[in-house]
Amino acid sequence: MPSILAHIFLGLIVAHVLRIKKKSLVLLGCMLPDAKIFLFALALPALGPTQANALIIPIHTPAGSLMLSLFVSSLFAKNNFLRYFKLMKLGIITHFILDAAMFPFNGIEHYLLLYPFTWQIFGIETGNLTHYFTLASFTALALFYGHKELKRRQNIRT
Amino acid sequence: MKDMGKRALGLACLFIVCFLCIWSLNDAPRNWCIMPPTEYVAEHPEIFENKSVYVDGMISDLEKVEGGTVFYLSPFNGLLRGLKVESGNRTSLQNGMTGVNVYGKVVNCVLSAERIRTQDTTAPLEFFFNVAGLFFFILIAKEEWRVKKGFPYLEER
Repeated sequence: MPSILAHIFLGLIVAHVLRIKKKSLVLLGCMLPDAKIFLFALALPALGPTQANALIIPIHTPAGSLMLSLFVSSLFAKNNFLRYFKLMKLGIITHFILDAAMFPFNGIEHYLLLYPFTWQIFGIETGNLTHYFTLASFTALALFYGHKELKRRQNIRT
Repeated sequence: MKDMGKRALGLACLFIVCFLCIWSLNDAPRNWCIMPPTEYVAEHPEIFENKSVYVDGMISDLEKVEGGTVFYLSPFNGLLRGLKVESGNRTSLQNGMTGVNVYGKVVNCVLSAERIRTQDTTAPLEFFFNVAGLFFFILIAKEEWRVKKGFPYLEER
């Protein structure tokens, strides 16, 4: 993964641009593919690194993540099942856009976009673009939230 | 009844994911880097350019690396690339090498101190971003909890 921060920032930016109120659902979608870490931590002592790595691959694929998000939506929402699924789906899409552009390569599960139909990988080589993106978005969001907080405090004073 | 259908769908999806995970234990390509016949590739780097190659080796060979540059083929455009490896730093080595051994076909190339193409210095930065990201995620969740007096999504159940 590029970094958790990069995923969260891209999710936040997309949620801001599309004016989505329930940002946390988009963010949950952004983080859902990386739920593999928990499974990896559980499986590591029993299976060892190679097998544990193989075990987590399906979770970190678009198909696996979408199915997981369906499961999560079915737990959370009574009436807004599809809407919540769509918001999480948006987060998942942003996650894989960043992962496919990652460099250096860090695990094939980031590029298995058509799993389980094929093991063929798809991606674009963008150098260290994701890191630059993280820094740029960090700065942009810090400015944005800083400005918002300043305005809020000014309003309270007046 | 509708809720039952949704829950059944959710559970079915979870079951499918679990099945795929267990299935991939045997089916997945081994995503570990493989040490190549070092001297041979160092002498003939042109052989590995724009080609997929099979090389035998084991993950345990990583322990033997004492620094230098790891050369490998980009799985996307087939170009020969290199990453500098810190002495005894397994993490940075894995960053550069895993994912190169795609589908057990495209394999990283060679460890050689003589040829340095690019340097990978992003590992500590990435660690910082991951920690900061987790912190930020918790902060957002906390704020959401404070503003909305609990997670409304859970209350809608």
